[in-house]
Amino acid sequence: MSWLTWRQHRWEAASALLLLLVCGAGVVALTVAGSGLMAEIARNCPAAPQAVVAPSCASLTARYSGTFETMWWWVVAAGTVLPALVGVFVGVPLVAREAEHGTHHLIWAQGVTRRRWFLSKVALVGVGVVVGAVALAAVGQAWFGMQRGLGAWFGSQSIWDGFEIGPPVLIAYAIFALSLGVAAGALIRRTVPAIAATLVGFLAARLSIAVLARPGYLPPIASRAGFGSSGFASAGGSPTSSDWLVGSMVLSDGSGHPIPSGGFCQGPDPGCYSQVFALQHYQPADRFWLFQSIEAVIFIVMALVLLALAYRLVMRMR
Amino acid sequence: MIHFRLETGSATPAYAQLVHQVRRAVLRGVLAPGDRLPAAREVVAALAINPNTVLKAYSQLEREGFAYSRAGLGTFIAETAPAPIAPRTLHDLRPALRAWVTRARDAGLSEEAVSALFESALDEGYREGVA
Amino acid sequence: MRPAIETTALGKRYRRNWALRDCCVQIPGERITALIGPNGAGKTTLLNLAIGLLTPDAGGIETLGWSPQRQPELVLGRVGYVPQDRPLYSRFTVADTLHMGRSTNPRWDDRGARERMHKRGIALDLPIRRLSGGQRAQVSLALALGKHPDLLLLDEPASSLDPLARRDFLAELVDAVAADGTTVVLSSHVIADVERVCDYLVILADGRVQLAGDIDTIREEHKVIIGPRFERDVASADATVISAEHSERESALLVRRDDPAAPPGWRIETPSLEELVLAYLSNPRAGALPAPQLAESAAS
Repeated sequence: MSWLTWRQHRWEAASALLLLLVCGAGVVALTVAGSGLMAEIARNCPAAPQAVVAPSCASLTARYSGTFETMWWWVVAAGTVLPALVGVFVGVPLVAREAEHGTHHLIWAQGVTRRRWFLSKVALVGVGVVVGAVALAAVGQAWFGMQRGLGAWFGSQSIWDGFEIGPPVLIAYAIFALSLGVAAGALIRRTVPAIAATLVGFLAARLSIAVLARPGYLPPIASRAGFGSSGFASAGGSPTSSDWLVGSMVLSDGSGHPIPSGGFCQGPDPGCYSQVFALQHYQPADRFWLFQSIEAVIFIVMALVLLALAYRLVMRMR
Repeated sequence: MIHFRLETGSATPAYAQLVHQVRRAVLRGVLAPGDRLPAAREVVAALAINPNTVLKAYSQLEREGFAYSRAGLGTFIAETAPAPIAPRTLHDLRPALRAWVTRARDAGLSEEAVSALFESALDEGYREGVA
Repeated sequence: MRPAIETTALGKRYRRNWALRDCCVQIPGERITALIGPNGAGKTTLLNLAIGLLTPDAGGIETLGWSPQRQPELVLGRVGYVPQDRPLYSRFTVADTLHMGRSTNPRWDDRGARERMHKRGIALDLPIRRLSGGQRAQVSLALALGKHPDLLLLDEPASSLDPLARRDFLAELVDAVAADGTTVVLSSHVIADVERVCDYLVILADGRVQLAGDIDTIREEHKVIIGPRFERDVASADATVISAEHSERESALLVRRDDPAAPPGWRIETPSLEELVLAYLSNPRAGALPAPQLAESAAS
């Protein structure tokens, strides 16, 4: 089965390798440029991270925004799209292409049983996908490390910004996409509709979990900032730039109830203001890896369920 | 060596056709006792027919005394095969037959009609009065 | 001798329709069996059930004594299959296809398979999609034969092949049978091929077995009796009359009977295999019941 799997998927493997090489080369180029930028910053800008007031710094800021910030979005987008492509180009054809061309009657009449065919193929392809995802994640981390170094000079860059390309979740997304593609292919049995279903399903899963579930893996910490002479000042436990702000800041009274905007204090009344607090929920940076693990586990469990479904469909397929 | 032909769609089963062809070849003197019949695999390859057909035909020939087989060597025409039609008999019968055919033709019968007439007479002649 | 395929009240349903229903047949080993029937009669279904590509909805099937469902490794290791339309991986080369056979079958004769390709003049490095229909058929056959199967199943193997390609295909098939004694079951619409190559016949109609038996024996058991035209509807009255045809002057009955004597004024002829098969196919109610004695001659 290993020869057959290789022979049927060798072009995908080659494309993936090419893609990784291109990404790797891109990272190297960016790192070189980034270190150059860092050296210039060290020469021209004041030491403090947020003091970008010197005119010589302005052009460096522009260069940063122009190149590296844009690049940032491309990389995160790639991290989102590439796993989907795994599902589409590797997962879907596994079963759908065979069923579409009738070759499932050919291969399942050979001495390898349907069960072994499915398990071997999924395992072999899965290993390849995991290796690719690990390599991609490594490239991503190298890039992200360089980006954070730069970002420290120009504003904050929280570790949370790179959540989508964190190694645990990236690998889990890839495995999930593969399983979704295989299951869609086994259910729909035609390549093009299965590809559409995989893309839609993948996006739906990623979006809904990122938006609805992720903020709540652990209850967020609530920070209360009292109103002092120089504006809101927090009494311990306030979010820093490396934390993930969940939801927007809400003005509330002493017992935590939100204050409608019209009911804000009028005029300089210290007594009134002492009753106003700014509530902000956040997830601290030290929870990052825990959240990565939780999300990875969620996607891997979904992947296993989909694989079990695909297995059953394949065992019953005509 | 005999060259077999097969007619599909005929009323005669395939193995019987092969048997006929061997018998006819022996009677015409084309095959003599001791001659080897083609190996089953050769016949199968030449005609694309079922190997059992050839085996069945050869078994029947053996039963009828036309042939015998030697393991590993093949199937051969037996000494007990009927002799070819004696030239003397041919010499006696043939002219009479030719004359009859001429008479039938002169009477206006087509070749097909003559053949049908002959076949029905043949049928009667060999079916009844088999003493 | 154990039958190659044995079914017991076998049934298979596609949604509402039963493709096979209450099918009981024993297909013998060491023969080349023809499965004949109209499209939709269940031939492909039966073959797919025998190799385990389908699972029964009723009854059971055993292939070489094993259950294709519960013992698939045993069945698949010993049974070769050439499915309808002879699918192949079109992006593979011939060599790749044989390599696939080698890597997915426990027993594999690579040299034999390559020799077959060489004998047919098919270069190993040709991609499948550049082969002609006849060449692809040869590759499919070589793939199925490569594991030296005890049983070979073919679903309409010669369909859409030109006469020469068909002939070459059958020649290759019978050569393998002559060499290895492989049991073969093939479904076909071409009676001429069946006559050439098969010695056992199963006629399927409406998902049921209509007739099954050794071809030579079946042919000996059936006669066409022809006589002056009569009116009585004999076909339904007499179980051994398979079909009846009436022209202006004559009636011809195809019957299955023991005694060969014809009533006076009638003559007996031997049907060709095609006539016989067509008679059964056009009269689905005529079944393979044991032949009782023909009732008093139909002329009375």
